[in-house]
Amino acid sequence: MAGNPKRKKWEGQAFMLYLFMVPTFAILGFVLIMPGIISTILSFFSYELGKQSVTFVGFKNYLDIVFDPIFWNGLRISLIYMGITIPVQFVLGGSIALLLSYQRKYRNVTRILFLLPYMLTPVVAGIQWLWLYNPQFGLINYFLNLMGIHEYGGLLSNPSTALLAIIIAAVWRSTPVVMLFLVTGLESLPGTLLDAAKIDGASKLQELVFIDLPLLRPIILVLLILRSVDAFKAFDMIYVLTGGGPANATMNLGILTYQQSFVFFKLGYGAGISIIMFLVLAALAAIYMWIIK
Amino acid sequence: MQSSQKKIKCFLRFSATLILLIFIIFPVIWSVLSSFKSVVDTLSMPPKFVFRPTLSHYTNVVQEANFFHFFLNSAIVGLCSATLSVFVASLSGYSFARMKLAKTGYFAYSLLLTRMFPPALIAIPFFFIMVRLRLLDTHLVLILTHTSLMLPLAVWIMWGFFKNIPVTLEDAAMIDGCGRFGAFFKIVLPAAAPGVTAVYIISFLGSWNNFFYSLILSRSKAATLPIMVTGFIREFGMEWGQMNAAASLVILPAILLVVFFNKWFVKGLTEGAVKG
Repeated sequence: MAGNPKRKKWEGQAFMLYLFMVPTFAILGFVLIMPGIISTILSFFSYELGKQSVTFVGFKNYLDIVFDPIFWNGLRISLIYMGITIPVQFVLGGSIALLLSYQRKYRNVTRILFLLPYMLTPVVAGIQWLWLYNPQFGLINYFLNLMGIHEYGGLLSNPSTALLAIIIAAVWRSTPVVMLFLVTGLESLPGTLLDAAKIDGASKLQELVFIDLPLLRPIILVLLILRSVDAFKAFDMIYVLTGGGPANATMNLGILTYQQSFVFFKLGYGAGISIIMFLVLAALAAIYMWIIK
Repeated sequence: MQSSQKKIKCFLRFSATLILLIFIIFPVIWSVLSSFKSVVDTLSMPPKFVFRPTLSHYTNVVQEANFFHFFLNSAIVGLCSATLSVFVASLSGYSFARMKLAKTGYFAYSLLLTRMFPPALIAIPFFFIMVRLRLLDTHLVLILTHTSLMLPLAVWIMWGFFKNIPVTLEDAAMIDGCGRFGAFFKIVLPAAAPGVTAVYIISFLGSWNNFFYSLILSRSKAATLPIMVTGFIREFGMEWGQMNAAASLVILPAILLVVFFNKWFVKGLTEGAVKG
């Protein structure tokens, strides 16, 4: 046969494969890359919604952000929120995962129930906790009163406790799903390695640290990055529970960006904060990968 | 180890798990329970666990709060963005799984990178442009933004699934005369059906649960359920009965999906994402 039929077939196949990727790249380009670029450009402009005019201001937005104490407050809160929820999720989730990996009965039911908090609409979860935290009729204040702790405005109205209250709700929401991932990871570990370790006389703790953890490293890394990024960007539940208050005690960067962009309509300024958030997150992911790899 | 020791350990583990489960579902159950309480019972102290249930809040939500309007919007946007995501993700997930590029590692990281875009980064330009195009408050805008949210994850998971399907399957099909296209649709896709279903459900839920884009890009015509539910939050005197009822209705599809498809969920989230 003239020509090389195998080569022709391969070329045709490669073409098909590239073709298959076009829709994805087209859509992602339109809904992710393009807005990203526009936001970056917009951050160098000042947008006045009333006058519908866009004026070039160079780095003024960024200078304003850097000199704005509310921005640093927001960054601090975002970092505290992330810094508490992530370790708790993983330590608690990991411990429960160990507990559950022994469980053989009722596995499906347990899985469904553990998936639930994460699968519910975040604003609804926020509403459920808002109801629990209600100062007059909520269960939490009721039990606190029984224990002699009187928080008359409710935990969400007190600047010193508001962030903690939100963190508790956030941990409630995310720990189960982290746990589920870890349990699945634990179960997928090759049993032969663990058996060999037992024969060699390894204690459960040694087995955990020297075999399970290293094997689970890739999963834990991905999970860590994803959860940390989500924690940094947190918006829905905080919006419902406190809206950023009281007195900016829970105004993390997500809420701040929303407020600047869509309440005060300083779109350029808001775009600037978003860019900064993105850079922080990219740096964070790089740090994670460097530490864990 | 003595069997009695083992039994005690087992019992302790079981009780610990049970207590844990109660903590986990308690907020949900309390909210649902509260939605059936009359106003008097809701606002009574100490909180009542035994009461006479009423459906008045649900009737109010469905009739006066215009529940179906929001429900329809959520459904339309959810189904469209999920279908789009899954269709497109299957194609490219397959390509990446079959390509012998060394650069697939970079691709994985770039998908991860898209997760780091703050929602406002996407919403601001869309808002800016759609205001001018007068396309604000339309289903299209929401479908596009929701797809931007779920597509990277969908591709990631489908890629993981397709990697686990042996190439020999397609080779056999192609020897029998299908083209690459045919092999994909007739053999590979059906083999990845659990993955496709899992990704569809995850994408749909992601859209159904989304609040930020609806908050910013919709006003009244295309507003979705999360908007309705937060609309019950007022400065003073929140209507807790209605709010709990609306909240319970909104999470009903999620609960049903998780209950019926939970095996595929866990499979989709872990097998595709973890092994991928």
